[in-house]
Amino acid sequence: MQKLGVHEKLELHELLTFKTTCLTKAQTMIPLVSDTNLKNILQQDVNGGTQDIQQLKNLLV
Amino acid sequence: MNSIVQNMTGMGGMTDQVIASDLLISAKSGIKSYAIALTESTSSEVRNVLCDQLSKAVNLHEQIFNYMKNNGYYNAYDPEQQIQMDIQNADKALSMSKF
Repeated sequence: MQKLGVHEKLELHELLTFKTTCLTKAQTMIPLVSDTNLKNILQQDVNGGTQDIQQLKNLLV
Repeated sequence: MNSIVQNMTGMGGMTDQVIASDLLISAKSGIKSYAIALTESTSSEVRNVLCDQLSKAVNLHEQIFNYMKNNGYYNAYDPEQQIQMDIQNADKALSMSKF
């Protein structure tokens, strides 16, 4: 990865921690949800979040 | 965490509404963070990744908002009624806390 500004790196770090917490939370919540539509939205969030985190990690390392 | 899960499972139908609200708030907060990060980016590589993820976050917000609207969890066109519901939810949350 090319060089990043410190200000930029800090924002990416912020996003990565946020997305990691969201992913963990969504995975914890799925078994607690009873509505199928909501379960689908959460599952979609888990799938998308996994990709996002991978991309953010690639930018940071 | 265990007591939270126990509390939530005891909440019955309330659980979906709480989880949906949490997802909506996260989506909103994520969109704001992406916008801020985007204005700090210096390369098109970072910008493209963030733009792409921002648009996914906006899409998630739309889905969860529509879900909440259709299920009567979010009354965006009647603030008075929404505030009443907010207060009921706040009271429920307060009654679950030990303090």
